[in-house]
Amino acid sequence: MTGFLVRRLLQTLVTLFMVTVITFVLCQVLPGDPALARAGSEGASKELIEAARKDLGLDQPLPVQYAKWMGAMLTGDFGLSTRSRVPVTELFAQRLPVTLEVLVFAVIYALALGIPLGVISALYANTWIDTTGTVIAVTGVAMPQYFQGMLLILVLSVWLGWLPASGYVPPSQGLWANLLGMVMPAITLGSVVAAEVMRQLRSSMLEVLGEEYVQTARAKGVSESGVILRHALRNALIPVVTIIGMRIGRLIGGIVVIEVVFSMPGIGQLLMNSVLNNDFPVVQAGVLMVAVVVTLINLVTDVSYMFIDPRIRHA
Amino acid sequence: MTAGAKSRRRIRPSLWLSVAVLAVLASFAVLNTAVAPYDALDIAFTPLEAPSLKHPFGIDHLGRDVFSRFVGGTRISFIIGLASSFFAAAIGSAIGLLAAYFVPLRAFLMRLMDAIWAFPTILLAMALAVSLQPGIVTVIIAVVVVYVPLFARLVYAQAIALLERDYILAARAFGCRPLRLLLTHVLPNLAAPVIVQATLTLGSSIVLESSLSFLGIGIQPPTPSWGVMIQSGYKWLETAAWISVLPGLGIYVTVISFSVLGDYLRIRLDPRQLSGKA
Amino acid sequence: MSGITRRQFGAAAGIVGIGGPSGLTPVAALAADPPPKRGGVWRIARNRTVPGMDVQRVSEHFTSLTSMYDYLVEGVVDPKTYELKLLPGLATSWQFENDDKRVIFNLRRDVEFQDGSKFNAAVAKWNLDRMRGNPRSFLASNLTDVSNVKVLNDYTVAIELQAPSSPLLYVLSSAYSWGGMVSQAFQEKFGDDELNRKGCGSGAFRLKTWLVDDRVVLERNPNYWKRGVDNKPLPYLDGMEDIYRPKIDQATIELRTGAVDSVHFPVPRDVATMRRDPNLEYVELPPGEYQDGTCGFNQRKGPFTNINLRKACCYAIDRERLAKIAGFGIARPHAFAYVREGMPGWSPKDWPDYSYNAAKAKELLATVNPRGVNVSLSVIAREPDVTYGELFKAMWDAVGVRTELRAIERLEWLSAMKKDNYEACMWQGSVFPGGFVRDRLFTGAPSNWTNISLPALDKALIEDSQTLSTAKRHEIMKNAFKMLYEEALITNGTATTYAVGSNKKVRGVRSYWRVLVANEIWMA
Repeated sequence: MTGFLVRRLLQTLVTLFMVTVITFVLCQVLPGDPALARAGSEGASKELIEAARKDLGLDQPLPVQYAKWMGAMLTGDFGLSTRSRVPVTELFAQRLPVTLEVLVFAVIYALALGIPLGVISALYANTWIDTTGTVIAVTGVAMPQYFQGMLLILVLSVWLGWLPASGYVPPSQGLWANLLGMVMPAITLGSVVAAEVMRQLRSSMLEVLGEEYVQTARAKGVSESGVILRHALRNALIPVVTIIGMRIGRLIGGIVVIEVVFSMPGIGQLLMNSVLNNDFPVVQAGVLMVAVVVTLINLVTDVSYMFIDPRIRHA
Repeated sequence: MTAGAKSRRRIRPSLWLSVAVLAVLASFAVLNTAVAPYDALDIAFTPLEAPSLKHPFGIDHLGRDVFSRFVGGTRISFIIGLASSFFAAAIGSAIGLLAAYFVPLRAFLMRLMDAIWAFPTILLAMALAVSLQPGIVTVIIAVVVVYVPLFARLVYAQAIALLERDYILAARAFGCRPLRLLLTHVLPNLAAPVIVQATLTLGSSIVLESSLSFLGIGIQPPTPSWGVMIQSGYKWLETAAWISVLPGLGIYVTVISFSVLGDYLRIRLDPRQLSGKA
Repeated sequence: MSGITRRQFGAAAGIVGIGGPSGLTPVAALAADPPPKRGGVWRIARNRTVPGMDVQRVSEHFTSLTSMYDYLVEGVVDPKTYELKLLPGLATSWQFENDDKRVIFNLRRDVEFQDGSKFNAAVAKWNLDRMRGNPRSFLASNLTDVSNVKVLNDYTVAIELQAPSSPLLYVLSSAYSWGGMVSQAFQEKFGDDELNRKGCGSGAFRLKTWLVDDRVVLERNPNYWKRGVDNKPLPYLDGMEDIYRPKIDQATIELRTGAVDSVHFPVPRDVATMRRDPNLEYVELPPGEYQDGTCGFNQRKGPFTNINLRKACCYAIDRERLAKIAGFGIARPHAFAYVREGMPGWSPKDWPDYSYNAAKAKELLATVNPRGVNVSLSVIAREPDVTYGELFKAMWDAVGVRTELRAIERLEWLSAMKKDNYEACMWQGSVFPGGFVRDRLFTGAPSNWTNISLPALDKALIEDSQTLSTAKRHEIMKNAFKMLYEEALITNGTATTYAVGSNKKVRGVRSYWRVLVANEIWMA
């Protein structure tokens, strides 16, 4: 097993290395001249742009630039935003709590909706209840997230006035306002994962409900709900955990659109503005950070899956 | 198996509905201007009129017939969906096969796929869309890059298992050349899951394109892609909801239909797998 | 202040106060309003993000940023007459000497920056040199006639000019926003980057926190030198927030629900809703206006080297329709970029009339190519530019100019303009205080997006900036614009008066032309 663990860790390191290379290459391919942005795009003269190019080290060969960037990053120096001259780490620190809060609530929503729907659909499999549950779940995936967000804003905010249309209120300024502001983003972001959770739980429960040990439990006279809750659900939940882990990457990806639609000052909005404004230090740091987090979560999920179900061994 | 027969019977109504919907939309896509009553770019009408007999989907804020734009958007969505799915499936399958067959390439290719898959979809697509000239081709490229790892991993896992089979080993022992082996023995067995995944990816591609257009970096206005229509009609949600909501429903209905179709194909093409993961 | 309609200007109105400070009116006293209440936080939303706290190095205008700094001259628009008045600011008075080639400023003695350092003539000189020497500054191009800045004594500074300069006082005033006085001590100690992050001025507000691309949170400066009508230091507010809302119509929803107090430059579509809402008002702030559909052509290469094509495109624009569809009746048709009634030079009867005339457009197009022409139109990927772009495309398509619309991100657009990589392009123009257009039309000037270069025009612009007489300037600019429009180098779509949509609680709304006077605002 240690051999597997070591192999997996090595694989992760290689993946991470490739992620840094891809990020670097992507930023080279992005349009816009960082030297121009640094020199002040509008009034800059040729000399100023050349000076900025030297200043940013852009006149050196690409592998050297890459090495310098990696070196700086490993010591925690992520540079300054080209637009605001604020350290990149500070920009991220300001916005991380917002994004994390949305992610957490999205996962909570996904579980709160997906698990009951999955259980009910499994129990009443192949009936109209099942079909309805499936349609609700699939809506989360089939309707673009920004569209869901738009409709939610229209109904819950503009028509009914129950929830704020946009923006973020820090908990320090009002816990209730903060929570209210989280409802729509969490629903919109979590709906995709809710669908996956529901489908996965439904099929796992169907499998488990047909298993022999459940039949045995029934034969022993354990009550129906006891059978369901204690035996079937617990076992059916295992793959759900891994689903969440695998889908975290998709969740994080959806954050950008959600933060744009709901005007939330999180990492996603920062990244989007930075890509559109050629703010390379921010883009490099941000994209890298997200990719690294996703890779690590995949690693943790794979390893824990292996622990939970020792029958599975990856090649 | 009774379960299989039962599920086949259960999904029939929704399957026929999905096929019907897709057929109608496909006909819009193919016939395009023949079906559309007016020019999708013509601003000749009174802006912001609600749906009526002459304009079944209403008129948008600049005076264009929304139904004609919807039809134009259908064509774009289908082109992007089909092209992206096809190329992602083709390239991804090739990579997966190569990785399965040629051991020295395996680590590099699969780690590369992991690395690409680790990037948040929208950021990867954004970076690509922004780097190239905006337009249909760019969107297709961005969507293909995002979904190639999906197919690669799917095909890799299946191919690995297949390559261990006795008859494959026998064929290799007999000196069968790799290309012939892959094409005639391995590939046909992979067709089923790839086709299923491609059908599902069709829907996801359409959603991804609309997200890019919504963010302003996909299809450019005034070309009527559904995402562009939703984006420009966003401001009018309160007073003229038809501009945004109808293309949004279009996406919704298309993706669900492809999803139902894909589910059906999965059961039909491989009845042993009753519970599959996407 | 609700229900004020646009006023017509007298022929020479709009420029006031050259030659000496006008009578000093207590800036905050408006007889009709009740006495201001103190306290509260004012939240204003805009669809532009503040790029930095160094007011001399930004290229846009922000109420929050301007309120952090003081200016030698206060350029305030009189809310009753809509005239821009140049009043004493950090300079209590100024004198013109030496045939108007030297301007002497007498400075206030009680001004302190927020880092404790004092404002004096040496600091003023340092600031003026910084503005002149900064290649990134839009100010620099308007200060080219300044040859030297001399410190005469601790609180007197002299600006030496190589020729009389009519824009000088405007450029240094709060109306232009970029000439604010920055703390020399702070910049020398911490550097430009830190100044860009935190700012250090002497204004009524100072920075509390800046969440980049989200909001700027300011708190009041307790040691501000200016006093309100109650004879206590301004501002009346405890703080203000400048919130970035790229979708400004979303900000209007927040205005209605009370999440923000004011929306700067609301979209025309929302104006009717605001007027209907009993808690809101739509306050117009003339004479400033922004101009949508300002359209320029690449006259060095490509299809638009042909003047008939340029003219055809000017005639093909149905500005009435633009004003109706995109402007909701709030915007007005306006064919002449960078100028308006009340500005020096305004004389449409002397200029070619590019009113909508599809027949004429087709006629001119036939002389270029009877089978029509293919062109591209590059617009910035934001509203309302994209909507105007779509409408322009439809209108040009209709006369046979087949147009490809390219919506590009702002920085990319700027880059494309610099590299001459466009055929026709569109942006949002405006009218500057005093009607100075040198930084937009002079060869090589920073905002001369389409690189217009007419030697005769350059000559006229130099003359204009060296003429102090309003009447003479009017003649010069009349002919300058005539040159521009006869060559059909620039055209325009609509004009919309600057405005702010506010909750009725917000009082004391006055403008420095482009931004609001934050230190006079109070909340009822």
